[in-house]
Amino acid sequence: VPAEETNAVLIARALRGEAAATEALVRRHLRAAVAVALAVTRDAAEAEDVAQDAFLQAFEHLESCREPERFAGWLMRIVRHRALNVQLRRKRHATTTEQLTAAEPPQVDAPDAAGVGVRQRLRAGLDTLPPKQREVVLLHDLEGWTHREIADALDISEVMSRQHLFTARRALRARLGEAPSPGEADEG
Amino acid sequence: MKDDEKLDLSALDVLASPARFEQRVSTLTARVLAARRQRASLLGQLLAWAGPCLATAAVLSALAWVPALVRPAEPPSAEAVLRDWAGRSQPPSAQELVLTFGASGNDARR
Repeated sequence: VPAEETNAVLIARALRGEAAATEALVRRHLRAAVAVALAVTRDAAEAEDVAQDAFLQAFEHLESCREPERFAGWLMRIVRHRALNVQLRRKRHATTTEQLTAAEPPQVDAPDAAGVGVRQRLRAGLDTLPPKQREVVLLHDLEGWTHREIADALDISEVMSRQHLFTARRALRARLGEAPSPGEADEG
Repeated sequence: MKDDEKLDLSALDVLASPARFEQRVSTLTARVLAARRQRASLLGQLLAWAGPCLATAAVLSALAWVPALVRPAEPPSAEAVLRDWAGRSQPPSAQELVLTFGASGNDARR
């Protein structure tokens, strides 16, 4: 699939049943979908499940994506909605089974064993942020999205995206304190 | 550190491993395509059945009207005929009397 193909072109081709276009859309948006789900659920495994289910839902209703150029924003709304539902179900379950301790923010650990300490510190830092700031900082600093892309996907202004990023970074750095920078720690 | 410097969040990257990412992409793509194929197949079956169903319904509907169209009109009752004669200025003819009472007489015998 040529790199310059827009979402609109890929969607049109996917609607015609072209597997390559479907794969290109998945490849282009999967990481961001997982990041947004992670920002809400704060659980790596759950975030992956949420992202996959959101993709299935999105492709099931692909015809109803009225602005194909804004597919990312449309998809992220589905991801966020599903992630919030999962979070709500988890809270209800924790309450009904009187396992209130389970309502604590779950692990954000990636499946590999490396960098557990860094992840724990980052997770603790992320837990202190409001969901929107978590989404912005993950999409920008982890996925490399621009503020324009983030603004479009999250239905906020670019100025607000910058503001969220600035606040989130400051809070995370304060939280990390004198701890070694993530790139240096837990590597050896 | 400055707040406008990018944070290294790679430790949180769920799909950091290229192999893992590729596996997730191919699994998800396969699921999406399978779901779309299944949906298209269901829709196709519905559409395939819609034509014959509509045609059958139209034929049944037309057939339901046939008895009403071919059934002969009911002859007027004797009471109605008598009322008609009473309203006229002239008495009924012999032919009318035979037709009316002759038919009634047959019905009564049956």
